[in-house]
Amino acid sequence: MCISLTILAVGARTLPLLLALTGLELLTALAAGVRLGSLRRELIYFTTQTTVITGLYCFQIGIPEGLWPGLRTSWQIALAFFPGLLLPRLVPQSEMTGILGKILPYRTAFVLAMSLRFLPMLGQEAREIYEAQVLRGARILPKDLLNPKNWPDLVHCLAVPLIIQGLKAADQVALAARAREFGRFEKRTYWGKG
Amino acid sequence: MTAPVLELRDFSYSYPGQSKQVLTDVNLRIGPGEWHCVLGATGSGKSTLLKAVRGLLPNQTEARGEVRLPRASSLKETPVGLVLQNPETQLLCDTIGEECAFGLENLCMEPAKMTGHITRGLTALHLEKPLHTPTSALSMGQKYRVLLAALLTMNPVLLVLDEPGAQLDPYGIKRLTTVLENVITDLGMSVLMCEHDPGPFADHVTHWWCMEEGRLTSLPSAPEFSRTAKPIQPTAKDSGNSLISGMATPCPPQRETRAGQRPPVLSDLRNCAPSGHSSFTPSEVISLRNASMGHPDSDPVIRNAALTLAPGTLVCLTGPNGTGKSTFLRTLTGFLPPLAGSVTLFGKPPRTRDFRGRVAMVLQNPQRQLFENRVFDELAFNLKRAGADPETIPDRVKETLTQCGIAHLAEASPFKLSYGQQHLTGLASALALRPEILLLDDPFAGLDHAYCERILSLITTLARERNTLVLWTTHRTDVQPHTADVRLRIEEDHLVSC
Repeated sequence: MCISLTILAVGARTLPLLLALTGLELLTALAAGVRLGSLRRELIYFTTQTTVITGLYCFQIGIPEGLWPGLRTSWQIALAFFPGLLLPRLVPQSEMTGILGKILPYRTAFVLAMSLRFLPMLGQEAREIYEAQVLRGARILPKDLLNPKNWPDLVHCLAVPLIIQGLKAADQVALAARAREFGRFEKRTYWGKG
Repeated sequence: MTAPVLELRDFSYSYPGQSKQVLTDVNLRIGPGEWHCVLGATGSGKSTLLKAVRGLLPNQTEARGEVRLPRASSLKETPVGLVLQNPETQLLCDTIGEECAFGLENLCMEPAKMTGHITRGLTALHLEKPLHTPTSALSMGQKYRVLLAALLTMNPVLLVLDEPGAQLDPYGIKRLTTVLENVITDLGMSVLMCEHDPGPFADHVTHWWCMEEGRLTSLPSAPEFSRTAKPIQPTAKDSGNSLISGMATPCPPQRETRAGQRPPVLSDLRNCAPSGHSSFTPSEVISLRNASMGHPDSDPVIRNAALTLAPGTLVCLTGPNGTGKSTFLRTLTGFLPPLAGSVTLFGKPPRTRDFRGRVAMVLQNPQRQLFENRVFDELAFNLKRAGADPETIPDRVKETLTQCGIAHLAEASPFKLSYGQQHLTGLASALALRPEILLLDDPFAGLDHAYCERILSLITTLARERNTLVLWTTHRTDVQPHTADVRLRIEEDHLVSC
């Protein structure tokens, strides 16, 4: 379901299709138990992303020609990634690893499942780093980012530390998995499949 | 003599590509039912030792000496169970049942047999919860015990624990101590742990070791501080450092701040009507009136808080994991609006944009904030963004580095420093702006006594000499609570004075 929604987002290039897909994804979110009020943060990301992408399009092909392509591209990206955020809520962890394990080598399936699982944790990490850097003086508040001069701060102060923390977390997860014998045998069994 | 479950003989190791040995001629012997504790400074090689014992060091060709690991009685078992420091990055599944099944799946156990093993593991750890309980709904202490239960299902003979006290509150540590004692007594397992704050475990540890620069030495008896849990106090350890050397003795619990300002006050204002901003006086930098705090889409974690804090106050906020300490700090910095009541800083509702430079916050692991190529540049960044005169920046950076005792690291890469040095760099970058309010989120987590003393000295002197209001959260039991002028605790959704 989530993969289908992501594929549909890539092909949805007209306003009616984008609106219909947005409605479908919001319904899926409701079915997954997501309260729409809790999507404020995602809305901020979408607004920031749209501002940046539309700005770049307008810079390249002018105003107003760049407005719709910029908005459409940002909308498509958001619709493509949103189902990925819903996936961990819709499919239990072991089931997801099991399903992926049928079509992929189990090590690859594990990496994919872990990437989805730790996405919220990385989001939390991003928030904490963001807030601490803002107080250090980094110009990365939404209003600051309206000025392209401040965009390098976003890379230096947020993206670089976040990548480093992401790599460290990946190392920890790998170590924790190996400590519980992940990879000891060529195959593994799945609980609940007995 | 009983056969050991683990033996290391003259074991040495250096990480690939590095000439310096992290472990040098380590000799260690652990017998059945023994509880060994390794003490030592941050970066002395303790974690590397634990990975060696578990057989998880990269490139074993860099190792010399002998490691005799315990043998599993069957292919469906693992002889050594390792729990690393942070439970969050080790919980790999959504529910406790799946988490406990993970290791068994890797050992290719038949699925039908797993549930029995899982239930036994959870029962041994006093975690009689439904198997579909989400791991995200557990407290930090429960998460740690789920990880232990997941290992117990794999029938290890030796449990290896890296800093179990670093992430747990006193209640979590107490429960962990009890279950470890049971595991040793009932199941005959052995325990090897590294710990900066071994006080709570001291009565159960049978063998003590000290790790210094990769060398492991046996201690004839329990170190005194372990049994008495001597609290950490600020010291004048680093000579030539004005801020640190200015603090020769711990400050009294309550004292007046600078002349003309009233001492810090914690008042119960629950029945007072909220006052307007015009009532702000310079002696109240933080004011809470009937304030409820929490996330907008959930119940408040703190209700009806009333508090007034003056400049130069040292405030310590304690409370079990997950009670709302971080939420409290986020509300003060304006990233979360209060759910009810009023929160003011300098007489105004907190707006992050307005307080940049005046309010500084240091994360639990401040090394997460580092991104520059040199320590010097980390500090200079803050000053540049605050619009400081470029000509004064080098002097101010050097002054702050000297105050923090890390002037010699100015040209070093922040990413190549030790854990403790990175911690001080993160703190120094916050101090460079000379903030009026300094907020620290669990600044002592994972640090050894020496670094805790240095940080405590720094923040104490900062409050006394510069009149900075310093508020830190902690769950460490050994960090001198009497250093704080105001001691707060979050208890059952309320902020109370201790």
